[in-house]
Amino acid sequence: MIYPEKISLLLVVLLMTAKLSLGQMIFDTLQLREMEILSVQAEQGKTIKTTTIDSLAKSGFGQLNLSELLAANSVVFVKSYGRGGLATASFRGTAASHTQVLWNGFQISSPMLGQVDLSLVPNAFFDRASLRYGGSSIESVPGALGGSIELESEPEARKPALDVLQLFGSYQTYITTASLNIQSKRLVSDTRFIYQNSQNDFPYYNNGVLPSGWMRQEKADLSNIGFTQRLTFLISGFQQISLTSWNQWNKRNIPATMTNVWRGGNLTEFQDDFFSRNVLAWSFHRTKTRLQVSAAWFHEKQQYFLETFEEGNPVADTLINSGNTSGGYFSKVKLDRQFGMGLLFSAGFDLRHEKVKTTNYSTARQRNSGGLFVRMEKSFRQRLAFDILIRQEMADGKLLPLMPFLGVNYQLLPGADFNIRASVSRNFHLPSLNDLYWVPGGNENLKPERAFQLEGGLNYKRTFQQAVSFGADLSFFSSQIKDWIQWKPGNYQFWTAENIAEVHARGVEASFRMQGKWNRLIYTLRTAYTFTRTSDESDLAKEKGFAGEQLIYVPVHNANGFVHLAFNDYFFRWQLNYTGKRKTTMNDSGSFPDVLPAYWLNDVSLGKTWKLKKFRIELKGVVKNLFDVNYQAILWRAMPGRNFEISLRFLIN
Amino acid sequence: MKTLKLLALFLILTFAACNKEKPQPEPLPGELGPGLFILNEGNFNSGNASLSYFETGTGKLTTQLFFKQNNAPLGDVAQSITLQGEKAYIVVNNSGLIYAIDRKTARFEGKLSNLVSPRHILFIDGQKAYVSDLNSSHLTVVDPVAFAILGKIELGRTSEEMLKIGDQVYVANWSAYNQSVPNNKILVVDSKEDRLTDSITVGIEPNSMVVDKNGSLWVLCSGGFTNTENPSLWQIDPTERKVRQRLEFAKLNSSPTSLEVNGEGNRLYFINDAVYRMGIADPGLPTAPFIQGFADLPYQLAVDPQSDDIYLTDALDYMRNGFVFHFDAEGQILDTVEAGVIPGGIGFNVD
Repeated sequence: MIYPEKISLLLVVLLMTAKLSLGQMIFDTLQLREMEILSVQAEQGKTIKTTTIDSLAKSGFGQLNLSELLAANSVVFVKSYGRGGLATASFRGTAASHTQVLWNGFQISSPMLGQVDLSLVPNAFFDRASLRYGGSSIESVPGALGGSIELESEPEARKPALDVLQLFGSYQTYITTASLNIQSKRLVSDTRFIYQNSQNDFPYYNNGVLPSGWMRQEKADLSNIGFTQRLTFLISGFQQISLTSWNQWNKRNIPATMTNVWRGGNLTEFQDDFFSRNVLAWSFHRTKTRLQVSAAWFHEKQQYFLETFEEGNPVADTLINSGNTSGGYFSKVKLDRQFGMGLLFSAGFDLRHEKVKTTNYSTARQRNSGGLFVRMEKSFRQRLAFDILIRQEMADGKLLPLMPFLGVNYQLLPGADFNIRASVSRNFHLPSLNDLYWVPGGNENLKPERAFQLEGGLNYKRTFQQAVSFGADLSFFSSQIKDWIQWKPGNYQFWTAENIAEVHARGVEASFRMQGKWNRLIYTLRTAYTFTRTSDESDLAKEKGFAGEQLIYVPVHNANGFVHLAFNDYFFRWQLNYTGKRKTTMNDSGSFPDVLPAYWLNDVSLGKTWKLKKFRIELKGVVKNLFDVNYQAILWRAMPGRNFEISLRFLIN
Repeated sequence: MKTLKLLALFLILTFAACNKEKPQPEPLPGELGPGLFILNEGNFNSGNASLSYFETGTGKLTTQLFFKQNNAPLGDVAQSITLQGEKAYIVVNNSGLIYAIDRKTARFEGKLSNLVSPRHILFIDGQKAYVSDLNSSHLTVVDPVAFAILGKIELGRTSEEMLKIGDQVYVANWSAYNQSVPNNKILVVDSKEDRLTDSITVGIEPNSMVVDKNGSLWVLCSGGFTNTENPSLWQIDPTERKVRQRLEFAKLNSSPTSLEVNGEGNRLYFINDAVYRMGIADPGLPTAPFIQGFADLPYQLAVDPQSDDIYLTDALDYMRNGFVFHFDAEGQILDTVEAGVIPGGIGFNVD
């Protein structure tokens, strides 16, 4: 019997690293079992940096959300407004709006904000997260100036038929996840469900008010319920069609910041969301050809409510009750064709129609956009590889300038997996519909943000006698983003969106991983570090003397580590994350609260698995924030100290 | 074993890295000399309001004074500062509270909390004060010594700046938030009875008020957030509650704010992009600016009642530390002081 954990251990080579083997891509026939292998190979590419959060890393996070997964497993900076609160991700010193999140090939960002709240993306609803850095995202999506996060659901042949997990956590947290996988010869049905409920009333030391003291987080409870259903039908040995639907209802109270806990008026502030995301995809695979055609329909409803009400008053003192409806239709066609002599050709186009109806715009707004790309990858003598891509985008009838990507990779030593790579690209990011149409302050004359990106790197990988293998990657990056959109205070009255800043983000990323076996102990060790400098280099910044200064909430240093040990039926996992100092204002006092101190977070888990023929039971205990570190990710947003989770998982194969 | 050693090393490193200590600020030795408190509003919902102090005699500037003295932040949107007796009262709008500090040391003395959206505090006497509110339809009556809420005075409107002449308190209804009637009144409250007694109609959005040496009430109205009408300056006889004159600004889209008066009570000052000055007997609004070209975003004005020196705050871009420009009575620049984020309220701390 083969279990996912063990499969994962066999595939640890894929952990968090730049992938290789351009030109070796082999298109599989449509055997489900082999499709799983394809998913491993498809992420490869010599000239670009991609990291994949695989099932081993992800298995400890099945019941959590994408923000927690990324914070622990990648050096993407996750900005979280508190446990269960809004969380966004930014790559390489860019803004959250420069991160595109794709689910089964389609952008799930709200067209209003142009960003995704990662706290509303349960890890249970996708199997694999691939991170594409900088220019390497252009093939999948335009405008990801920082990078893209691509979430995919893959029906796995070896997936357990039934997988049910119940978690109990501190602060009255209950999470249930379940998945049911039914397969016949031609049809696969994959159903997943999540229910999450937490009072989220953790104690914390509030030094944001006087007199300071221990308090409990109030009005921070949240509950989410959602399911995905995927049906895959094998038309023939070469074709399949699938329909995937993701529906989710989210409710959360928004707690007061630490400085505002004593505000009067019995403040009620909450946000309710519902979304339905649906993708229909047809794919055709032959040995050397793959054609994918897909269409999507997304619908999202959001309600934000704020009220202060004093006892004895007939009406509320403050009342905001705003509703937004957004969504769109999307379609995509992509062809990959492998020729002989190490030549791979890809081409595709996509069409998008996004629309927003909100009380905050003067009228309902929409945007029609589309794009097409052509890509050629060619390798010479297995050592030198070129990768050329050109994307052309059009938005509301206007052509954007071409987005080219050029990459090169060279294997430094024959026979050794030691490579040097470099790439250059240009990318454009359209303003969000809020930037354009928000009343007041939206600016219909905004230009797209434009980025010029350079990247270089070295990677090395080696395996010793099948027992130990290790790999390392070192990357350098530089992105110059012009016409960066900022909301700027207007003349006494309101803020307006303008193309102001010229941001230069540059830095270094280093990662190391090692895995192996020592007697009956199987171990994995992984660590990554990022150094990022991001500053505004516009004429205005130079004139006002703040050019060169680090932008707010971009840590210069960010690192993480991961240790996984498995011994017989026991496993131990240790996750640590370091977030460096971050400025909270553009001032250079260097001290708190202008600067938030750095912090380390440690999560450890210990588990045991029992196997009984077709059944498997897994019991796991987790200690989060092991050292009870008192920290703030964002100024005066309370975060929980040491807390616990225990979960019981039941699987039937 | 190697793995275990590695694990041990990790543990040691992690423990070593776990610095739980928050940076503890060093309180200032000694007392504050004569000077001014500069209140930096900070950004809404960011909790980054701060207090700076500028000693006029020595030119010494202290930033983050409140945090240094109390090891806690001022809060979220520090709206106004009022000195009374040995204390200074700081109204922190979005934190819904008022902190009282010792005016000589800036140390925490007490707090009034559970307020909805407080803006200003006005002292009726040593035992009673009124607190205006941006969202609530009443004034809150407080005991500023015992730090207790005594009651409320229903206005039916929101309230902003307050001014006391005799026993009467004049309350500006600046914001139209949460009210169905236009925001164009000065409400009159009897401070003996704690009761709304009358109102005076002025222009839309009365944002600031002063009393001149003759006892006239001057009210500056910005004309509305969406430029509903031309801004206007009103001279009112507070006893008769009659309008003596209404001066209209020519530009509909201008937004004059921050009306101030000098110590003698014969000169008015306000911001309308630049700083303007006029005599109380002038026949019309001034056409030429008195001070211009210093601030990127002129935000608030204060006039030293003793020297007539003028302080102009510059909110810059609302994001970086702003400035306070210090001018003599004739508008000659004396000092430029770097303040915090959105410097607004100024409190003169002189004996």
